[in-house]
Amino acid sequence: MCQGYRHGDRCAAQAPVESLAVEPPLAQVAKAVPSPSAQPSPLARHRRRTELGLLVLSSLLVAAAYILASVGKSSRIPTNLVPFLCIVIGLGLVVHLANRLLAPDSHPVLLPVVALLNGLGYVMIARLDPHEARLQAGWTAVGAIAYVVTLLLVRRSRDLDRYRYLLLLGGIGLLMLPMVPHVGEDINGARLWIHVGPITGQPVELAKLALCIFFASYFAEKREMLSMATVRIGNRLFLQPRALGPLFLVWGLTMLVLAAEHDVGFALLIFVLFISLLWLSTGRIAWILIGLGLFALGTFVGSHLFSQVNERITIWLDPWPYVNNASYQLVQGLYAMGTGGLIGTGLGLGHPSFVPAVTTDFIFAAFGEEMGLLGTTIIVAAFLLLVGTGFRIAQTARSDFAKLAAAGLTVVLGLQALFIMAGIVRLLPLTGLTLPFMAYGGSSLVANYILVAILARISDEGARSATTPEAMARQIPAMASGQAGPG
Amino acid sequence: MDRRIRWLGVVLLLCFVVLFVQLNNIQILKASSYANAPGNPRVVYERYSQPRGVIESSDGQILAESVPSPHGIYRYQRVYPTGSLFSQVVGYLSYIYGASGVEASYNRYLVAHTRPVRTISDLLLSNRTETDTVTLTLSTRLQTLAQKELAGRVGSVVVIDPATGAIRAMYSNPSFDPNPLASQDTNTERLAWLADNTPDSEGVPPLLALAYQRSFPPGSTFKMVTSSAVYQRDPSLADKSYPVYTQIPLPDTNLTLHNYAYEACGGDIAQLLPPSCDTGFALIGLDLGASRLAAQARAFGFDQVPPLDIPGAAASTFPPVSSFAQNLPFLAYSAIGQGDVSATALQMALVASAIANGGLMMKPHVMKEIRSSQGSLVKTYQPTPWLKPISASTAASVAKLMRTVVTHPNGTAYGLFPASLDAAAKTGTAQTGTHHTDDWLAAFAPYTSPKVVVVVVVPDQSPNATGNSVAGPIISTMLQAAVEGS
Repeated sequence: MCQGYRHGDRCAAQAPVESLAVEPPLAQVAKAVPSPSAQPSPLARHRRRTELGLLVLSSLLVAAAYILASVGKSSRIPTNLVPFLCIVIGLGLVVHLANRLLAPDSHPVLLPVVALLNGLGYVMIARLDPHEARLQAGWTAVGAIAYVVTLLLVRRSRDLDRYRYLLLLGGIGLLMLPMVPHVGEDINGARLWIHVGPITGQPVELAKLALCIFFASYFAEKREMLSMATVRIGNRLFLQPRALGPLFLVWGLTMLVLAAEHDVGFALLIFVLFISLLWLSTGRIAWILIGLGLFALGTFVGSHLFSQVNERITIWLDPWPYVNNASYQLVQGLYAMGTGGLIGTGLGLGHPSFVPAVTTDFIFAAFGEEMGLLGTTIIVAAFLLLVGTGFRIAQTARSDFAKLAAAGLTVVLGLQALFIMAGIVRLLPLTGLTLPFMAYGGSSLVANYILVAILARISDEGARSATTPEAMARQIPAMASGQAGPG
Repeated sequence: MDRRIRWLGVVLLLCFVVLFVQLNNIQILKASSYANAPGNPRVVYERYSQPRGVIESSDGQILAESVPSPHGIYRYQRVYPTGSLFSQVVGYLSYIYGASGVEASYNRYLVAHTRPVRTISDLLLSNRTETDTVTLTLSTRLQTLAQKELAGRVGSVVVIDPATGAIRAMYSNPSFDPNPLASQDTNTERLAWLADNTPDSEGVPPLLALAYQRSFPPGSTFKMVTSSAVYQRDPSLADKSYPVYTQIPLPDTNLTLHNYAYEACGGDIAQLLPPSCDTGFALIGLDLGASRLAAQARAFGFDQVPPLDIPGAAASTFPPVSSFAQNLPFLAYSAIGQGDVSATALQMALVASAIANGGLMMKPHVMKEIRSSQGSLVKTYQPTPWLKPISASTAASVAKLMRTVVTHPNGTAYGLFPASLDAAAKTGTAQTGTHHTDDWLAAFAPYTSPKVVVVVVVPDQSPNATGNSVAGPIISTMLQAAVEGS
């Protein structure tokens, strides 16, 4: 049933899906929908109240985890509990108020889930490394500001569409930044760090957003050209090569830069994002097959060209012969998760610091040890909730560009989380990505807050247009048919 | 496009489901094998983060205990208040190098373990772990005295109760301090390990417990075995009188065997033992034959590892019978404890205690009793016989001879012990090369009802040193102190 705030979301999501059974060009549907009203929808207040309630809940969970970790580690209530609570609730309120003012119809689940993940990640970092925790707290504040600023700057999603090539340029610039002498830095064999004054960061985190927006924008515009076969060779029709040229140029450039920086994780992420968006916009299975072929080729070439790639694949297939060198971190991660078992050792009571680089690469294993399968399941579920919400937002988005952008950003967020978690549990080779919102790292935190801000913006537009009186009227037949159906 | 977005969502959902399945695989199915894997540092951490039982001496001195270590990596620090004094028996507990001594052999009692339910309140308590206290038979007084008497010289002192096999003191130089080996700092540990494995100027690394891990030619103390073989296996030889010689030619060669300082001696066994007549005993050995002498040595425990209740005891050796077939001179040397015969101080103490204990050799042990942290007795050492090398009458005969070593004016230990001590003894001065002697003394007291056996060995002394001159003062003090204490 369509009730409450879900009314707008679900029904808006269903209407186009059903009408898409005959695949009308979506651009027409988008044109049929009136531009979003300046006024928030009648459901906005309800959405924001839900968000506030969920935010309070996640703040309480984080505070409880903070107390538990401190009690577990040193048997005393943290002395800075009150300031900690003030900051957690304060940051939550700032972003919440920003939503009330700037995106009153945005999806109410995004922010609380992000706050929970970020808070739990902070608790774990604070329990393992107080110095990193202070920096992480600062970066969280920067992330929250970045969220507000993004909402302020991007008042409509089509603002992003308009600056497509600027974003592309910026994205490539960010990608290349680590290769600039004196600015870039090699850490653990991957040259993806920059060092400017006291600040170090991974510009690729921001580049992934810029590239995602560019791909979405380009595909939204060229979707018909990319899906129609217009060139005849013999008795078969092929895609016009001209349409593909710029795409493969961008894609190849990205891959080249990433290969030069030895960052396999992001190369893979951008690649899968590229293929996903291509398929989403054209619906051609051929793209997925071509993608898989390119992926296999890339892996083969990569494993021969780069010792790091080869080593990661070797220890993924069988880590046990190398437990004292190459696979030490991976195996220690497994040991940590095994020690945690079902319910974990308890926050502050385990020894996640036996795992090298636990706060950056392996924070998921730290949760596996101290919170057990229950904790890791909560994290997986939280990411799944974000991914589900992201795709729901994509479905309710008003324009092709917004749909592709929302889906692309969701793919980036979901895959990044999936890659690193699957790497830690040995489902995939380790890729050196960070777990969004949880792992220690400023650039990742800020970039992912911006990502969520864009999703919030798109959801705000989608929900608002879906709940205008005209849209409501348009959905009545759809609702009626839904009720008459079996479910 | 919305349908494709949904499909993409389904694909990602499936990926997350696979992730969840693998999480179950790791955190449920394989959890315990990962948690207890040898490479999991938490296993070691847990072991060293629990309190560990106390090891104490028979007179209540704490030899090893766990104290809380608030600033360390691990929650408890193992400390050895007596340092190097008991380390060769108590051993060490190292994070890197494992455990030795009592720390290793009684680990089962020392580690925190679940207390069996004895009372109703036990049933209700969730934390029923406890550690036991291991009390040793060794006394701090005798151990300290042994260390003092050796005065830094390389050598061993073993004090044993012949009736029970309880070791009341076992000290040897060089010794090591187990505290740095139990350090939580791996570098300290490594450096200490390196130093403790480096041989000193005498070629002995501190970690090698000379008293039970290194054997030396026992010299004339082996005549306890040769004499026993006479009474036990060929009593007719006891009455045979051997001519007085300063040296004898050895069979099949042009080698000769001479007495200490070319002294002249001879007569029957009762006259041969007090002055420790080498020519006489060499001839006895040749008369006995290789098989009888070897059988007697083996009956006393040679070529077997003594069943000491701490690890690492070395076997003493007597050459195989076949080796003498073409080499009778070596049989003559073996009969006086030279040649390829080699014994630990512990082994000679066991030989002497069998003679003192009516022919029955008890298993040597260092554990007296084990009590739980509540004070209830968990285990008491029950004295157990190990070997029965000689009959009671043989034991009495040999003991009587050893008594004359002390009482007879030409006995090698004459005047060494106060008369009131009523001691019996056998000296030994083994020639090692041309420039060194290993100086031995085995003694027990009181002669009528032996309570204490003491063996002292001080290897690598100057050529004119003897068992009497070097080991004598040490054993006299030790024996008096031990008899007073028992």
